[in-house]
Amino acid sequence: MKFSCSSHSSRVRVLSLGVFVVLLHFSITGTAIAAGNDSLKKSLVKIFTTMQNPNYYEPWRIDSQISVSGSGCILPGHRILTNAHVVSNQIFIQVLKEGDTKKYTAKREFVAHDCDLAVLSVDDPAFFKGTKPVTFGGLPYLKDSVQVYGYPVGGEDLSITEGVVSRIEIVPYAHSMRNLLAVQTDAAINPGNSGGPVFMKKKMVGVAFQGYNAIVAQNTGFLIPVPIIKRFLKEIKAGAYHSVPSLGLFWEDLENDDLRAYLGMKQDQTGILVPKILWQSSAWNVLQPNDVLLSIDGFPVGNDGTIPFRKGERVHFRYPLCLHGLGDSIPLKILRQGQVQTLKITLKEDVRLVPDIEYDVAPTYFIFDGLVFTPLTMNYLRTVKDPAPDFLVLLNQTPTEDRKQVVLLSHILNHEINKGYGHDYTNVVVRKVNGIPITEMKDLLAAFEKPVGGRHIVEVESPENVIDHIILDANKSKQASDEILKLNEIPEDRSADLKGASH
Amino acid sequence: MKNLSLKQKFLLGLGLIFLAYLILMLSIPSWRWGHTKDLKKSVVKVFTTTQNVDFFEPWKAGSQSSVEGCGCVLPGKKILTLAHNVNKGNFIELEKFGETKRYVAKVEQSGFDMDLAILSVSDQDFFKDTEPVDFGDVPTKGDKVIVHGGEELAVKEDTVSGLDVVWVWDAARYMPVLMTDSSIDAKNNGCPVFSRGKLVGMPLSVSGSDKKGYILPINLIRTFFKDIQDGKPYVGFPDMGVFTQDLVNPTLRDFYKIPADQTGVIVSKVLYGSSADGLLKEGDVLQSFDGYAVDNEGYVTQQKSERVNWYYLFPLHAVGDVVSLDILRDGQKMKVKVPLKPLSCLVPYREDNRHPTYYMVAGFVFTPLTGNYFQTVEWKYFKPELRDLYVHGLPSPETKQVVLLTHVLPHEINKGYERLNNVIVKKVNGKTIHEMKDLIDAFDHPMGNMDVIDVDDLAYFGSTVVIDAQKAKQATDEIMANFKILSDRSQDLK
Repeated sequence: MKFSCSSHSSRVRVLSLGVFVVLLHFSITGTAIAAGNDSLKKSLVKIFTTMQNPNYYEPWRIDSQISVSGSGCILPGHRILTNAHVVSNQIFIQVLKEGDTKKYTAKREFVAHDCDLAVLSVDDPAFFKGTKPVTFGGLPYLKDSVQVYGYPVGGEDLSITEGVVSRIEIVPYAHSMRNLLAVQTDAAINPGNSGGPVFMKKKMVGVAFQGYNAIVAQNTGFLIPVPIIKRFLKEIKAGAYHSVPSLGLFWEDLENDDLRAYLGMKQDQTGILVPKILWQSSAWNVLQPNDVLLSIDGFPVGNDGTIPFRKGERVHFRYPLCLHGLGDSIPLKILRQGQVQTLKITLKEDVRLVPDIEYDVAPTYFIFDGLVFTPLTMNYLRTVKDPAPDFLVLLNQTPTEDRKQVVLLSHILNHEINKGYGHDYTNVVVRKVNGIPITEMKDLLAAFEKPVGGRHIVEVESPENVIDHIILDANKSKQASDEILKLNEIPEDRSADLKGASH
Repeated sequence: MKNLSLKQKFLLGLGLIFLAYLILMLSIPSWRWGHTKDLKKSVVKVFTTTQNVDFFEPWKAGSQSSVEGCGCVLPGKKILTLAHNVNKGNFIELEKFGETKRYVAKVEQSGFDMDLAILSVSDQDFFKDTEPVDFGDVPTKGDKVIVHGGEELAVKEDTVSGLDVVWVWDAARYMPVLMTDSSIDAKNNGCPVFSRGKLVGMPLSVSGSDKKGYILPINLIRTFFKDIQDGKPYVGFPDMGVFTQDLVNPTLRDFYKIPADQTGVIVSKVLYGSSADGLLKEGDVLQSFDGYAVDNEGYVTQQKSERVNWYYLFPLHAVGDVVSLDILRDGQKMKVKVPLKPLSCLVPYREDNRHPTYYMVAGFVFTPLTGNYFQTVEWKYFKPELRDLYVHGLPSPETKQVVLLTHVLPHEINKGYERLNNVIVKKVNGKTIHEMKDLIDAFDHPMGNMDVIDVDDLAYFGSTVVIDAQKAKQATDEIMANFKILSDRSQDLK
């Protein structure tokens, strides 16, 4: 049952911020020309990347190559700092320092997709001759004047724009959809600026990384501030990057007096309500539903979900997480059934039922008798035109022991063995195979090993939760699978991550 | 031309004129020549001033607009038109072809899912010089049909390209329709479709319709007349209330032990409260419906060898009819008699719903989730959770209705809850809310001195709403005064 609704005047508009945030790499080629005597220019690098994105619908294929350009700056220790989205899914990177004409081949050393940062190295030491590493400043204040350096659209040369800091807040990072601290400025930040340094009084205070679609808002560019950059550099100093941890809880504000009284809060107590905790997250088995979170990492939480920041400023209670590493412990104070308790929480990453957008990984898939199975991921969802509401509902759902992934029958490659099914079953959820519940992709492999009475029984679930059975002749499976792979020129029946898992 | 006398020239001229006249006559298709005069006497214009219903703020009268459409004269001095032309109408006028006088009409009967309505006119002068239409047969592929449309009821010819079962927004369900080559669109709003001088269908609006035109076939119109004879209230056309799976694959047929010479589809779900509830079981193979053999893809072959989905057969029956099914249950052939019931759905849509159910307490506005409510704002602005309920939600003994807290009218008492909108209400004061009327009783029994509303909306707005029950009554009165709301609830909840 598919249909679209006729449009009427809109009254309630729930705009998702992320939709309008645009990443600022830019697809051009060309060379920059030497200029000026500003010493900060010696820290500037233009980055050229050739990317190759995976195809999530036909995961055995790779999409065509694209070229993008961005900006970067020199770090101490012969490294280059830029945005992760300038160098994600990369197959070849070249760098060009300001005032030079020779492009050098660069390598990606570390990448942090969650906070959109990456560090590159260049094998040829000649590249760093005449360059000057940046020195870090601190977190600026509102109205501080900042200068954005980079190579945005509109020309080939270095561009410098100036503006003031207009806001400091937790915002969604478009590359990862994680909520992290960012600084907003009215200095022009345009495609190509991505990864470029932002200076204040000759010190670097951030990396330009995203802006708003001009239809939505003007003069709103964002930079990744120094605390986030320093956390990234500290992590990679230890040899590997680990992402910013999450608390793994749903929360709601407590601005209503009656609601606070109902929860047994005293007049002078403030905090937020935690109605649900994510399976296997940091808060799992530590917090309980309907606990009131009073303070986090020593900061008292306000009824609106903010904590004190600098003098006269407040910030989202998630901010302390932006500074911590995985495995760190932080104290929480909660109100549980009228009692104040202090707990320690060990920080982890969230486990999502539908993983957030991912980069630099090959899609997971398994093909059996022409049935193409894949987990539902944000990457997969982006390949589906006009996704049905039942898919979008899954984005808000949380994993459980019985359902760690949503395993999809994506589509069917037609063959005699699956005759009559191809038309009816695309993008349906797989519940059981041969009576074995499918909680994640690798369960498929073991389940197809155990046919029932000479047949494979695949139970798929429609959006109305109606179960249909797809029955396949197990005796013909091996031959059919081989024929299908050959016919469709598919080198492997499964992705590398599923090899040797079982089967 | 040489040496012709004046007389010869005159005769030649006369001959040429006659020849031209003949050619002209022969080049005009016969329908234009033969029937236009009659049809003009059967087609009338319908002018409606409509009052829209505001499902978001149901205490308000909606905006007014006018709609222009057409209809045709029926035997028995009635007019047939499309329901969506007149259902919201508080003032309807009719105009005959080539006349300027308008006659006031009123709605006698309306069929919300067929989108058909019957009008009557009190001034019998209206029917002078009109001719009622004759009902024809369902046209088949390749047949020519004509439609009137536009300002001057211009005539357009079209070719029937086939019969199909499509989703019709105004009916909120699947309907059998005739398709034509080019679009029969809004311009033909209610203008009857004729073939060989007889009525064969009414135009239908199908959302997302491309370049095709859609016609509600005459046999469905006949069923509608049968449904409402003797002034019976119309309850919609029936539905079996089952989901089925095709039985094409040989291994699948083998699994269900279906002999090679048998056809049918397998029942994968029987809906709660539907026609088939208690009579069919999951795993039954449906082999025939009302005498029509169902093939392995769920199609039946009609007379004149039109192959259509078996859904096509529902609207040919009225609610209350008993149909006979052949089924295969556990390998045994069986006959089952099924009395047909209306469609059971969780989120209903009724074109003729003029009085939305609502209840407002302390600024919280509650309303059942209906298809009509989805028309208050653009489809994409509804949370996927609600859209999913509309498209895929099925009724169950636990959930008969989805009760929604649509928005909050701000007041001191509901401070901090302003952002709540379109959340599903689970419980009020500990009582599970199955349907709207449960709200009223639940709010009469606060928990201590608090009213506690449990909503299911973790990902967006939260889970618990608590207000001071003692102040709620006074706050409700103040909000009604502030927002000019005459009643805190709709008539049906009083």
